[in-house]
Amino acid sequence: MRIDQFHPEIREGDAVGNEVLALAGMLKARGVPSDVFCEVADAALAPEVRPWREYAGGANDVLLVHFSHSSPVYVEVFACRAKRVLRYHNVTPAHYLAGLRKGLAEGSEQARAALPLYANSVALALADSSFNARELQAAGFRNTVVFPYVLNESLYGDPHGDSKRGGDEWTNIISVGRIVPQKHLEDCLLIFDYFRRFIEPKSRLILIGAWDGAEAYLARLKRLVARLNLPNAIFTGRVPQAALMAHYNAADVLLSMSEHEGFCVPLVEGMRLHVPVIAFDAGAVGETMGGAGVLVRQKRWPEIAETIGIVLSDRDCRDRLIAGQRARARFFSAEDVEKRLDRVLALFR
Amino acid sequence: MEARIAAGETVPDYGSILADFKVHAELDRSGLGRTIAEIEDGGGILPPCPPTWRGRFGGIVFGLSGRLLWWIPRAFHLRDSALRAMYDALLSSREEQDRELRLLRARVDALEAAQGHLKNS
Repeated sequence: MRIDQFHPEIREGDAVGNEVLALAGMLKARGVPSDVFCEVADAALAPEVRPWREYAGGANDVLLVHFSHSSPVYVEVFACRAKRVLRYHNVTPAHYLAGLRKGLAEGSEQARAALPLYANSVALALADSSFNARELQAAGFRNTVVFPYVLNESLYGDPHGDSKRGGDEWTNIISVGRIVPQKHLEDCLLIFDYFRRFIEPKSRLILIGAWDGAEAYLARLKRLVARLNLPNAIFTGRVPQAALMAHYNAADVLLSMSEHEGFCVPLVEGMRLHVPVIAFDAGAVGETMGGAGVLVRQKRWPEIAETIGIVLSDRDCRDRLIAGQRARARFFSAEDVEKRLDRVLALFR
Repeated sequence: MEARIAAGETVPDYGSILADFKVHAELDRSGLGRTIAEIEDGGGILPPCPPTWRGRFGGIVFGLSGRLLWWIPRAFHLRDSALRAMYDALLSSREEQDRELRLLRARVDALEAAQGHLKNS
C-alpha cells in the first residue's frame, strides 16, 4: 500500500506545504512508499514533489488530499481510483477577503461551496482541530477524526531554555502570519501603542508575514501606523525560514489577535521555541493553546498591553508560562504524532 | 521594566480609532482602496540600463520616446491624483458620518435613560 499526498500548491514557508513534507518524511521513515503530488511548487521544492498528472495510485493505495482553498483539479483528484482521505486545514471565510485582490473572496466562496460535494468521495476526513472537525461535519462529512497539525521538526532545531536568545536590549513583540484582515493586526497596533507609550518605549512590534493580494489591508494598517505615530511597527513581508527563526530567537512575546483560525501554527511554533504566547480566543486558538500561554477573551487593548508588561517583568510568571508552553508543545512532538499516525494507518491495513 | 506614564498623559480613545479603521475597511470593500494601494505600490519606473552599448542605446531611445510622449505620464498622474482626492473625500465624509452617528446614539441613550428615570419616579 502506498500513501501519497496531494495539495494544489507546495510553497516554501507555507503551513500546509510544511505539513505535507513533514508527513511525507514520516511515512518514508516507516517504510511506506509515499510521494507528494501538486500542480505548482516553488523551485527549491521541485525535487521533493511530482506533478499531479503523474499520479497513478491503485484501488489499494491511499491518497491524502489536503484542502485549504479552491482548485479545479480537485474534481479529478476526488475521482481517482485510490482510497481518498481528506485533510482539512480550513478555508478563510469570504467576508474577510472582500475588497482585497480580485478572485480571493470568490475563490474562498467556491472552496466552501465545493467542500460538501466531496463528503461522499472520501473514506475518512482528518481535521487538524475540533473547530475544523465541526466545519467538516456541518459540510456533511460523517467519518471525521481530529488529527492535530504535524509540525515539520526539521525546520526548528533544538529550543533553548529561555525565550530570548538574540537581538538587542529592545523589547520585541512579534506577530507571525499572513497580513490579512482576519488576523486583526489593527488590534496588535493598538496594544503596541499603549505598550510603548506607558510601559516600555524601547520596544518594537514586528509583523512577520506576506501580504500578497491584501495590499489594500496593508495600506489601511500603514495609515493606522501613521496616525498612531508608530515608527517601530515593522512589516517584514514574507521571510525565509532562517529569518523567521531569528525573529523567534529575538522575540520577547508572540501576540495573536486573530479572529479566525482553523489551527494557528505560529502558536505552536512560539510554544516550541519558548516564546511567551498571548492570543485572542477565537476559532481553534483555545484548543491549540490547550491551557498554555495567555488566552484573552476580550479585546481590552490597555489590559492586554499591561499583561505583556507583567509577562516581561515578572521572571517567575514568565518561567511558569514557558514551562506550561513547553509541556503543551510536546503534544505536537514527532513522537506523539507518530503514535497518532499509526492509529490512522491501522484503519487502512 | 517600569511603567513610565508622563504627567497628564491620557490613554487614547482606542475605540474611536478602531471605529475609524473600520470605516476605512467598509470603504475598501468597494475595491477603491485596492486601486489606491496598487497606485501607491508604484511600478512603471524605468530600470537602470546595463553598462553595454546596447543597454545605453536602449536607455536613450526610451528616454527620448518618454519625452516625446510627455502627456501620457501626466495623464496617469492626473488620474491617480483625482482617485486619491476622491478616496480622501469619501474617507473624511464617512468618518464625519460615523462621528455624527456616535453622537446621535449617545443622545438617544441619554434620552432613553431620562425617560426610564421619569417613568420610575
